[in-house]
Amino acid sequence: MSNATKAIFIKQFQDILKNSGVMIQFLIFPLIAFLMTSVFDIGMPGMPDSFFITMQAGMFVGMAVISAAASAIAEDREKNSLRFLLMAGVKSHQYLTGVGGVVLAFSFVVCGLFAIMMPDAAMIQILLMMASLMLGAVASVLIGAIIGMTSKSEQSASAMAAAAGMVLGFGSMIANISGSETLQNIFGIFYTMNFVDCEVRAGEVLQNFGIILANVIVFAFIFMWVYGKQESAKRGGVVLNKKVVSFLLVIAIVGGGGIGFSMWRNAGFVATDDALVSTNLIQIIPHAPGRLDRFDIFTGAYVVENEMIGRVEGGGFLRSPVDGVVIATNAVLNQIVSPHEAVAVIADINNVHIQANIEETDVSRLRIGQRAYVTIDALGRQRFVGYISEIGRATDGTLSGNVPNFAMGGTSSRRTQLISVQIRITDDVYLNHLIGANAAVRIPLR
Amino acid sequence: MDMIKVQNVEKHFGEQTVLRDVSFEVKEKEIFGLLGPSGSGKTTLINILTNQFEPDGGTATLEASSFETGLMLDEDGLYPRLNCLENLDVFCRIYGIPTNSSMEALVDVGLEDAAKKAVTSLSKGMRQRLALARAILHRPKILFLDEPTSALDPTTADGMRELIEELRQKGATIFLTTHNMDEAVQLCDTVAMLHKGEIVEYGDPLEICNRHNSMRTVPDLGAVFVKMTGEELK
Repeated sequence: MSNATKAIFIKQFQDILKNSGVMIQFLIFPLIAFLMTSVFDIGMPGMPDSFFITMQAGMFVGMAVISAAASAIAEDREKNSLRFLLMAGVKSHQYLTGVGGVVLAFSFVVCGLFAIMMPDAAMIQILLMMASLMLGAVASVLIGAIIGMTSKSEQSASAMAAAAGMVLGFGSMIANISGSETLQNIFGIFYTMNFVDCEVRAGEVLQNFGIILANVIVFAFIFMWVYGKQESAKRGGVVLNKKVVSFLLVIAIVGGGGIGFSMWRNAGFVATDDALVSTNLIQIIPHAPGRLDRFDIFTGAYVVENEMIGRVEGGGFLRSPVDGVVIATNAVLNQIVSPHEAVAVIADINNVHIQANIEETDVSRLRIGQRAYVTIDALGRQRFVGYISEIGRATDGTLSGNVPNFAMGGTSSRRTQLISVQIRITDDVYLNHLIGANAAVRIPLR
Repeated sequence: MDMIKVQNVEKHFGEQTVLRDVSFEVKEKEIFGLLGPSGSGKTTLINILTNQFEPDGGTATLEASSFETGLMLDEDGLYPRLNCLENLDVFCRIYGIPTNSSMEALVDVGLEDAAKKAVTSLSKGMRQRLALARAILHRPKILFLDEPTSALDPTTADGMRELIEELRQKGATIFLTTHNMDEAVQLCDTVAMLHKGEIVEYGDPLEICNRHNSMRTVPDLGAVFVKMTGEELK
């Protein structure tokens, strides 16, 4: 590292430590992630525990890093400090390396904080996440430098950085939260939508890194173009590169318009944690009354289709109509049974699904075949992919909201009925032992 | 020996001509004053001499490299959140000189007691002195001072002038701009009067005053300027 780069690095390091505005921006994102995840434990149905950490990390890289780089450079230009550095023989590239290096160093520490917060993550996942965030931070520093070099003042740089941050950081966050595929497709081209988190599948890692790297290359080219323009202009003179500003504005407007349009069309996702692992339950009922002279099953036993599970004296055999597991037995050997009462209940193991109760107001936005994400309480934060296989037409009469009190004539609220929606999980997961377990469902709308 | 040599320099910004056929020399260890009202082209000339602008015509040469020149401008360019020492240390590292030079420079400008104070807490006069400390940090051969006393109260301005004289005695060649004619008479060995981008008078300040019969009880360069241009200086 040259004397000049080292000097700028140390200066910028000291400056950021004393710049409360930048320090707040750097610390607020991990702090919010910590509060939401560890202190208040805010969860959303169907979302992994690390959701807020990865969301805040993405917003940090897409917003705070751009803003820090842009304001540092713009301030040095506006206050004429840069002119003294150039006069003292510092080359522009040494200056930008020093400033960018410090912003990246601070970003590394902050990304480390995010990584430490990740629940139950393996080291390789943490390293991949850190690597993707830091590669993204390089893109953000380049964007910040472009803004810093082309803005007239620190104030206009802050405004531009905020616009870029709204598109890259905030926009990606909205796209993620809403679950809208349109939004995700629009923002999917930006690095801020491609950070690797603990949820990511092996095949997606390469694609994520590829997109982030492509972003870095694109922004590096724009940066070099702007840098070349500035260098060819008279040194020290403030050059407002209108083309670059226009370009960034177009990105901001197109991005903002995209968000608005998609939100208008899609408005998010449907989610509920009123769901459980379910299947068809078959009641085994004797054809005629009599003494149960054979009864060979017990709760938890597996039975195959047509297997004899009992016999009523003089009334014939009791058989299971499906492959299943016995989940209840209501009789004992030698008991007198009748066709009015089931002797056993068998769960159909070839028909295990998730049954989610969705509010009637949301059901009209769902359709059969739509993708759904499921988490099962008993299996931790692992998320499974499935699809809607059936949408109930009749309500099950369950109430949501305040329970009305007609007798007292007190405050009552309109009842929102819940409608049963079946979701088949396509991921390879064994759920037969989990029938009845609680689940949460998140269905992105498209 | 001529430390600065300016020959027929021209500079235009668009349609506007800022400097027209400007020529002068500055000798070693001389204090040279470039006099003129705001907008006369003084700062543009400094920018050309410090290699920040290129002239559109003519030549401007310095007998010193960029490491051997010091610059103090009206806008001080200090880092507001850093303290005085940290501000100077940045430049020590750039020049590759030991950081204890920072304290020496602060002592030179009488700011040693404020060494650990953040720039934001300094008065305008103290900031000016810190900017001067930065300019002399690496003991430059040529020092460019753009309106070094313009924002200072009379006492602080006197202190600054004494400092400039001391620096010259230590061997620096000083190029300063001012619109304070009394200051020019007091400090400068040679002055050039700049008006609308042209040099209208050039030479020893006392000789100039004599030449124009403009000697009050003290030499009155201001009156010469009015005579030459028909305009007041301020």
